Order: sequence, then structure tokens, then C-alpha cells
Amino acid sequence: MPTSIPDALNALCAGLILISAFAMVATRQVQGVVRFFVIQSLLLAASCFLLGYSRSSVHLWALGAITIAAKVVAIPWILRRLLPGDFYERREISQAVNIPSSLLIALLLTIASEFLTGPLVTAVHDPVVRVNLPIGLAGVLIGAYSLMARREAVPQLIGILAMENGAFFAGIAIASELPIIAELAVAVDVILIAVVVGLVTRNIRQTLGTTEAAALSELKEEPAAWR
Amino acid sequence: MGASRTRMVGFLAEPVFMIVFFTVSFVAQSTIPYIVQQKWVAGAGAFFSPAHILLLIAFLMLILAEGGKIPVDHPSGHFELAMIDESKGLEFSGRGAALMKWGGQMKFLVLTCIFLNVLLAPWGLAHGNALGAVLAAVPLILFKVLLFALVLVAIESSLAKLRLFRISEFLGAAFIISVAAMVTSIFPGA
Repeated sequence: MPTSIPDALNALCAGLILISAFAMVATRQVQGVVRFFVIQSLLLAASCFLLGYSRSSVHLWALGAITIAAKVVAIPWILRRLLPGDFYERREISQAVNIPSSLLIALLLTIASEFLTGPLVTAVHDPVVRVNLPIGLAGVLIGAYSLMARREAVPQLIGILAMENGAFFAGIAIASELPIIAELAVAVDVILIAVVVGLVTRNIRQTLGTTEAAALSELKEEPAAWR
Repeated sequence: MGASRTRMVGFLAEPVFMIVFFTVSFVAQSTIPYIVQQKWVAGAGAFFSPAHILLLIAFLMLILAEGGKIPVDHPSGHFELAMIDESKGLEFSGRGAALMKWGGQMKFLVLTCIFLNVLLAPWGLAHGNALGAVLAAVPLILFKVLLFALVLVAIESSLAKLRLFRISEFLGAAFIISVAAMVTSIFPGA
């Protein structure tokens, strides 16, 4: 059990990050998915700041600042600029698996990640690793799952970014002295992914009138007539 | 109609309730509320542990569902099809209606007291059976219920009511969160 106040607040962030991962799986609206992603990134940044304070590591402070700049400010702004507003307000994203089953699968992934990290966590006698590692791995797995289950482009992109959030959340507990150049590279990478996916989605939408990934499996000469 | 809907919400909420108490007894190694709340106030590490946070969210969703609050139920509407707990009262009159309303409010108050005194804010309770301590604890729990009601007002005024068949998803999500709380508390990870 973590005892100092920053570590305890980090555990609070961990619980809320897990909840926001579940919420991203359960939300139908694209806007809601993006909103929960922003909340998760804010919690990740808060966790970075708390661990940076308790371990007096400048790198973690920088990582928190980069997370806020890239994932809380830049990515929602880019997506909002690139994609029209009605795309955000659309509900009922068609999914390969319905939402209660998705939530059950997310729960199974959480159980699996707790089970898999169990031996590692008992080997390391660090209370922060005990909290962060299972929940970070659960975030990675749930992000990968939503990448598979979602059929729209933007929620899939958010799935990739949520995987990255989970990996960072596990990583800041294990390696608090991550070199800053790696963090910067990752941050630029993330923004580039958002720009590329946003642009491609926009072009696909202009040509085909849909952004559903499932509708792109067949080659068509003309704009599709199934929608 | 109201009774059958209340029954539907009730049996969907039941597994969440059971898992919440299983988790609590896993964490505190006891089912007695007084021991459980001592566990939570033992330190910041216990209070802010992920299991506790997940439990709080699951129980809050349970209160919203069972207490007839807005994402699940809309008691102040004029349309019987949109009500759950309140439409039970429409089928009765006089003393029967009063008992129905009273029962619904008592359910809400009992759940709120468990939420506040056992899970969320287990401070300021009477230790022992001295008359003064008990009398001092009564206004304190009323104050806590008032604060919680303000939070509920914020939740109710910022959400839209769910459709009837979305309620099972809402309570399913609460169930998932409570099971996740149990998982994070029984594995060595927490």
C-alpha cells in the first residue's frame, strides 16, 4: 500500500484512469470518446507530476507537460479542425461487439493484466509499481481491444493513443529517468499519427461519404451506394 | 408497470450490491461496517487505493439507479412511461401512495448513509454509546447527506435520462467497475 500523499494521489489517478478506459469502451458518441481520452491524458499528466514530485525527477515533470501539450490540447484541436462537427455529434458508432459484451471483455483484460503482472509486482517492492503496472497494462490491452472492436476511424485512433497512455502510465513507475529525447520523439509521433489519421479520414469521408473502416474493405470505382 | 420496472432495476442492481460488499469484505477482512470504515480511514494509502475509488464509483451508480435519479429514472416528469420509482405511486392512493413514496425515499436514504458513512466519509461517527456523541453524529450525517444531495443535483442537471433498455447497460457498467475493484484488491497488485 502506498503511504505518502503523492503516492496515494497517484493511486487515485490510477483508479480513475482505469475507469476512463472502461468509459472509452462504453461510450457510443465520438465526442464522448474524445472527451474521456482527454480526461485520461489529464490524469496521466497529474500522475506524472505527482511521481515527479515524490521522486524529484525533472524528466517526469517534462513528460507531464508534454502529455498536456500533445494529448490534452493538440490532438483534440487537430481532430476538431480536420473533421466536421456533425461527425462528432453522431451517436451509435457501429461496433463489431455490442457494448455490454465489450465491457465484459475489458473486464477480462483487466483480470488478465492483474494476473500477468502479479509475479512482477511481488518481485518489486515498490508501492507505485504495484499500483501502476497492472492498471497501465490493462490500459494497453483495453486500448488494443477498442482498436479491434471500433469501426470508425477516430475511435480507432483514440484506441491507439489510449494504448500509449497505458504504456506511459506503466512506464513512469518503472523508469522514472526516461531520457527526455525519447519523450519528445513519442510526443511528436503521437501528434503526427493524429494529423495523418485525421487527414486520411477527411479524404475518405469526402470521397466515400462514410468513415467506417468496415466499409473500406472492398475496392470501388465510384462513391459507395450502401450508405 | 411501475412495480415491474422497479423489479427490473432491482434485480439488475442486486449483483452490483453483492460484489460491492464482497470487495469490502475482501479488503477489510470483515463484513462489519465499523471495522470496514476503520480500514478506510487508516491512511491515505488505503483511502485512495484504486479498489476504493472503483468501489465508490460503482456504488454511486447504484445509488443513482436505486434511488430513482436522473440517468436512470425521472421522477418529476409528467409522463408515466418515463418514470420508474414514481409510477409505482400512481397506482395507489391515500395511505398506499404515502407508503410507496416513503419506501422509495427510505431506500435512497439507507443507501446514501451506507455510501457516506461506510465508504466515502467515515469520519465524525459516534464511538461508543455516550448520548452526547450520538447526538453530535446526527447533524453531521444530515450535513453529509446535504452535501451529497448537492453533488447529486449537479449530476442530475448535467445528464440526460437513459432509455429504458439502456438501464441494463448502465448497471452492467456498474457491475464491471465493482468487479474490477474486487480484482484490483484480491490480486497482489494492490
